[in-house]
Formats: sequence, structure tokens, C-alpha cells
Amino acid sequence: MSGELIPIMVVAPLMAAVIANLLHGKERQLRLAFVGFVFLLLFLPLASQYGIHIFGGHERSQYQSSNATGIIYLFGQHQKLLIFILVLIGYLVISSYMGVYKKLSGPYLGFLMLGIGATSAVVMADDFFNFYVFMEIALISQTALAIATGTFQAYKSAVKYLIIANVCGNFLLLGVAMLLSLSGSVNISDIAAQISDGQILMSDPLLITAACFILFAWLYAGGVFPFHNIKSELYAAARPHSSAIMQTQTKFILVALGLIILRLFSGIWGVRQVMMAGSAGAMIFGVIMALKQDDYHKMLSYHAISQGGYVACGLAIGTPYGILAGIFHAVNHVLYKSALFLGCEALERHKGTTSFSKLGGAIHSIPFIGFLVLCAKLAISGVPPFNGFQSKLMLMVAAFDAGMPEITMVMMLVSVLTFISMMKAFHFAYLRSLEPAPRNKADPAELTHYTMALVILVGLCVLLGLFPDIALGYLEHVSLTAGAPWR
Amino acid sequence: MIEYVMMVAAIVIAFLSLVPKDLLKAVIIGTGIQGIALAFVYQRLLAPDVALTQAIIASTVMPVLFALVVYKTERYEK
Amino acid sequence: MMQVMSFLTAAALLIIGLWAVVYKDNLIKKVMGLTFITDAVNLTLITMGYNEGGIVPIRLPGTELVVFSEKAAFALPQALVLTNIVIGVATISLILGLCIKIHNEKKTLSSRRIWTDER
Repeated sequence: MSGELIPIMVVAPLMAAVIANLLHGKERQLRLAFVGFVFLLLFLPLASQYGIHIFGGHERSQYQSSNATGIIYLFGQHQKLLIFILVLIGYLVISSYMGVYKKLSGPYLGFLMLGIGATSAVVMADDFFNFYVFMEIALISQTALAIATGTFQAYKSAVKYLIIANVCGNFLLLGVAMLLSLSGSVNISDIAAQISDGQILMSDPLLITAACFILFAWLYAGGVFPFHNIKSELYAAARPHSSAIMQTQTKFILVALGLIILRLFSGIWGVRQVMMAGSAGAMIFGVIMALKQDDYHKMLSYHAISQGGYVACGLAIGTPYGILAGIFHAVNHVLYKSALFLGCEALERHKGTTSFSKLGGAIHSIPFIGFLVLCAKLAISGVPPFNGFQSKLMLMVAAFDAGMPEITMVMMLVSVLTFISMMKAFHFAYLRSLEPAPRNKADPAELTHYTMALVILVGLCVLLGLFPDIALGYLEHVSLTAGAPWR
Repeated sequence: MIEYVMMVAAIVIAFLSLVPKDLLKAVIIGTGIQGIALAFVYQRLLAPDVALTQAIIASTVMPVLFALVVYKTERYEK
Repeated sequence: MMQVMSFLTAAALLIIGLWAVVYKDNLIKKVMGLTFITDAVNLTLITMGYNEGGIVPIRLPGTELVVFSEKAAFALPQALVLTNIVIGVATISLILGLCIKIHNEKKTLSSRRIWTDER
């Protein structure tokens, strides 16, 4: 087993999407097929060796002598970690969906699989061609998951999201066109080598314009300021379990495109400053909007934006420690935020509503789920021994070491506000007693799938909190190759 | 010579197609005629396969899609 | 000369498309602005591969390789443009379907009236 398994990590989810569409209506075969598929997908990133997959099978020529136009997938250490976490969360979301809903929808599962395959390709792509196509596919699959709820608010948010997604995708392609005209290649490693070698000058106005366009596309695709509202509206319009997989996709696209920008453009002054401004705006505005929300699901969506600002900040610092902290925070955030979203869906199935004014006293009827959700809330606030504490500490130290103690103060302030908001939500949803008590809609016995998913996710949070080196070992290589000192 | 005329025509038609209140006229001009003008320009820019694709999509697929939507929603912009 | 005029056309189309997406009130005209932006980006991509006085990048039998590689236009951006056209059609058809659904509910396609009750 060698590099042949690399493209299968993208092809297998796409085939699963096609088969899910065909099997729509046949319940038993759909469930059997999906159990098989997801175990195959979980096995693939663990079994595949590190390597390069070159489409077309031609030899990769040296960059000095020719314009290599290789279409390449790179499967390195951080890709393995990210794809495994993505497929694990996809598995938990699909098992919750299958366990709770009696009639399955084939196209819905197809779009979930399409999103997983597209995000795996975005994380692995080393050339702009693959990256652009699969990023558009991932954005459309996110919209499809939101449209599937059928509410009018979902249609409005989806139209806004798709129009701006198309504009920003075209801007990304415009930046790629400028880079192609400068260097003659769409391969990111080749362009980076040409820039660092001096064949393309850093003060070239065409390069700076290309950097501006690609940075604009990153601001949108990652959900940082000023496009944070659009992403949070889309998460709030979908069902909570699909919000879990949607925010995973957004975080990993944010990391992938951010790494590309750092590899190509970190020599240009102003690029990391813009990234820092966007991430600070996302952190602050996300948590302030979350504090004034009245709906549990909407509040969680705004917190997802705020934590995305943390990840973007880590990438914007750009030093090796900063990149390490940023990607580690992305991995941690995806785990505990999915736990929170699944807990929100369990609460909604149990009580029938997600509005704070109508919830209360759930700790008496679903105590174990309440305890697990409390663990996830402590994780997002940065309390030891959970993983949020480790990654937020690393982020603050990275900002301080780069000479920016103001960013450390902002991170601490946002962390405190996150804690306040989460504890308020826990009090309203679980602890307080409301007269008259809201009726229980679903039996606690129906929520076993959610309990199992929450146990796995919170267990991983505790594991990464106590032994962070398990994940950090996978991220060292990329942080050393993409990092540069802050100027 | 004629490609310069087509380029200028593409810009002018694109601008003029956003003015009418009759949505059917707007979409047929804005996607149909403007797309065909661009297909001509692509052919002169040494890209025949792209010209073919753009001609097919801009003459049949896009106007039909937009006209269907105008038929199902409202004809005149209020 | 041809490349310069072509880039200017693409720039003008981009500006018209952005103006339509931001300032126009009707949803269908916003979507037409999206098609203009896509057309502008495609035109930019193909223009940068243009070879002055060159030939089409299809190798006919009887052409020598040296002559072909000197005079042919750059073929890679043409592949990118073909992909972009298809992506554009798919996304725009999805947006138009959503427009029909929104009109069924609200009986209007004016973006001011659809998004005004969120205050």
C-alpha cells in the first residue's frame, strides 16, 4: 500500500454520494451501505502512506528548468490528522442522523459525503486547479445541507451565501490567473520556489494584486470579518447536526487556504496584517453577537465564528509556533464544537425548542447528556484538563512571543466572554426550573446515538487535553516549512 | 478588426441589459447576445474549444434557465 | 494591441458585474451580474495565454514540434476556463432555483423587500 490510496480518499466519498442518490427510498440497503462506507473511509487515512500523487503519471520536473504544471495531491502529516478528524465527525453526524430520523433521504446523505470528499481534496491539494474546483464543491454542499431543512429563512441565507460565494470564487480564480501569468505554473510548490528564489520579485505589482484577490477569497471562505455574518446565518439555518459538519469544513478550508497564502505571500508586508485584522474582528464580533442571542442554536453558530477568529489569528501570526497553535486550535475546536452542536440537537429532540425563554430543567431528565455538554462548554472556554486550554495557551504564548501583547489581551477577553455566554446557556437550558415545566417530547432512550457521539468527542477532548503531543507531532512539519518571523 | 467591435459590443450590451424593467428582455440580451459576442472574441483569441462551449451555453442553456425563472416568477420588475 | 483591448474589456465587465451585484434591487439582475463577473474572469484567463500571431493549440499532423511549441497559444488557462464555465452554470442554476422558492413564499423578487423584515 503506497500512494495509490491517496486519490481514493477523495474518490470514495464521491462514489458514496452517487450510490446514496441511487438508493434513495430503500431504507435497509442505504443503512447497510453507509455503515460499510464510513468504516472504509475511517480506515483510509490511517492506512495510507505519506506521499505525492501525480495525476497523469508524469515525472515531476525540477523547478529551475521548466514550467512544471503538475496536478498533485500531497499527503503529509497534517493532512492525515485533518482528514481523519473530518471523517470521524462525519461518521458521528451520519450515525446520529440515521439513528434519529426514521425516513432517510438519499440526496441529503449524498451531499454530506460530497462535502467530506471535497474538503479532503482541499486539504490535500497542492495546485490551484484542484483547490478551486473542490472549494466550490464544498461551498455548494454546505448550502445544500442548509436548504434541506425547507424553511424560508434557510432559502434566504442560502441565496445570500451562494451569490457572495460565486463572487469570491471568481476573485480567487482571478488571483490564480495573475499568478499563472507570472510564473507559468498552477502548482503551489513551484510558485513558492520561484518567489523565494527571486525569479518573481516580491515587489512586483502583479504579485501584490494577486495576493489581494486571494486574501479576499480567504476572508470569505474562512468566515472571518467582514464576512462572518453570512457563515453564521447559514449555520443557524441548518439542522444542528449538519451545522457540526459544516463548521468542520469551514475550519479546514480556512487552514488550507491560509497555509497556501503563508507559503506564497508571507514576504509581502501587509498580508499578515490584513489577516490579523480580519481574525481580531471575527473573534470580537462573534462573541459579542453571541452574548445577545435568544436562541441556543444561533448562539452556538456565532461562537463558531469567534473560535474561527482564533484559528485565523494563529495563522496570521505566521511564526512556526503560531501556525502550530492555530492548526491545533482548529482540530480542538472542531471536536468540542461538534459535541456542542450534537448536544443542542439532542436537547431540541427532547424538549422541542431551542429558544432560551422556553427551555429549562433538562438536567433532571437527561443528566448524562447534560454532564457531557458541560464538559464541552468547559473545553470551549479554555479550562484545564480539556484541549481548549492547551491550544488557547499556545495561541496566547505565540502572540506574546511575536511581540504583540495586545492580541494576547484580546484573546483573554474573548475567552472570558465565551465562558460567560456558555454558562448562561447552560443555566437557561439545563439548570433553571421553569414554571410550568416544558413537556418532554422524546424519550431519553431515543437519544442513545447522541450520547455515544458525545462520549467519543468529549473523550477525545480530554485525551488531547492531557496529552497534546499526540496531535502536535503531526503538525510540526507544516509549521516549520510555512512559518516565518513576524515583521 | 471585427473582434474590437465585438469587445465594445459586449461591454455596451452588458450595461444596457441591466436597464429594462421587462425582465425577459433583460435576460435574453444580457446572457444571449453578450455571450455570443464573447464567444466570437474567444475564437479570435486562439481558443476554439472554449469558444464552442461558450457559444452553446450562452445561446441555449443560460437564456432558457433565466427565461424559465422569469416565467415562473414575475415578468416585470416592480 | 489585441491583448490590451481584451484586458480592458475584462476589467469593464468586472466592474459592471460588481456594480450589478451590489446596487441592483432585483434578484435576477444580481444573478446576471454574477454571469458578467464570470465572463470577465474567463476573458482574463484566455487573454493571458494569447500568443501574438500564433496558432491554435491543436497539433495537426505534419506540424513540427518545435514550430508548434513556438507558435501555439498557452493551453492550460483554456482548461481552467472550461471548468469555470461549468461551475458557473451549476451555481447559477442553483441560485435561480432558490429564487423561484423565495418568490413562491414572498411574491416578490425585490431584495429590499425580502430582507427588510430582519430588523
